[in-house]
Amino acid sequence: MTHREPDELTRGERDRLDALPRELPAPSALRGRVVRSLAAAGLVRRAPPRWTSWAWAAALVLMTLSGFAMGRMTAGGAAPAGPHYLLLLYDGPGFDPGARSEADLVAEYSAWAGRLAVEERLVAAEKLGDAERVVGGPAAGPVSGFFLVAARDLAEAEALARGSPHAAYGGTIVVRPVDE
Amino acid sequence: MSAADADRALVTRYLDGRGERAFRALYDAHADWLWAFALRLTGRREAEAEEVCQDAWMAAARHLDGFRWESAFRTWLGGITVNCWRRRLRKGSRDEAPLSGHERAPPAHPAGTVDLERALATLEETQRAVLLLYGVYGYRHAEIAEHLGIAVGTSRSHLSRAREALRRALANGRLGEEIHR
Repeated sequence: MTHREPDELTRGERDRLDALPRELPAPSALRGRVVRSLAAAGLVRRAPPRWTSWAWAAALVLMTLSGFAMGRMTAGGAAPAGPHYLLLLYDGPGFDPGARSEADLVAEYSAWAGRLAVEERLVAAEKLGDAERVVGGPAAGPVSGFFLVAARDLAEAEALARGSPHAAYGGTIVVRPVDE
Repeated sequence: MSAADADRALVTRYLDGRGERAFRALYDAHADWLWAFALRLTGRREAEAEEVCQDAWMAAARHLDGFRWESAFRTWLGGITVNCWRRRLRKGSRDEAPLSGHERAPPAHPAGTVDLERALATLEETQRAVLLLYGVYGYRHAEIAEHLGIAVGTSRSHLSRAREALRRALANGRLGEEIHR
């Protein structure tokens, strides 16, 4: 933005105007308002703030529809064979599903959870709420949900976790055996 | 990477799928610049400046795929912002007073420039817009005339009157401060 015309301002005016800061801190709430209005107009695809807010629920709904009773019951009422392992899911700083659409992510999480149910590995699955109280601490970070699965050993439970879309998108999963 | 290359990369990423994260990155790169621009244009009426910014981002997002990079991204965004501001002015729904002048001075302001901001805010709307676009943001009269829907000669005469009014406002401001002491 350079003037090709002779400057019509005096040197003094130019110096004063040049001293004005070109940037001022925009109100912090403005970004959210802009993003919401653009999303409403179809000009921005909303990113899931945390995958659990919808993908988790959608995955559980899908499992319910496919015959898996939500909660700590299994299909047919029989517990899957083998020791149980807890898969603790954290979003963590690395979680980034990129530009994938919400529908694609729901389908991926649902397919993964559905496979666990069909293979009779799923013992229980729950989405956890956002409220948290940490006693003692420090906490590793907010747990967003868990799966309780049946596996031959820790290595197989870890392989199940690695096969999840959550791991694929950089989310953190802690695998722990249930002490029997 | 130059600023222009960075802008192009941000815009390309946003247009490729219009993801929220990509938009936020583009927004963050220009939000403070646009805020200063809109705040000055509206004569430091904060609520109005927010509306103008929101309208400008909406219009920019809508028309971005037609942007040909014949100017800097901010020059283009500034032009859109002026159009949005004019549209709001025509609607005439203004009931907000400008910032009084005794409010907080943002820490981003170097010494002496707060008086200038206050003086600019007292100018008549079109004179202020011409002075800002010409004197602060480097637009040429032909561009200003196009954005404001006026003749080039009118832009020049507005600039001349704005400079005169600014000198008076700054002189009054100094007098006012001396009286307050």
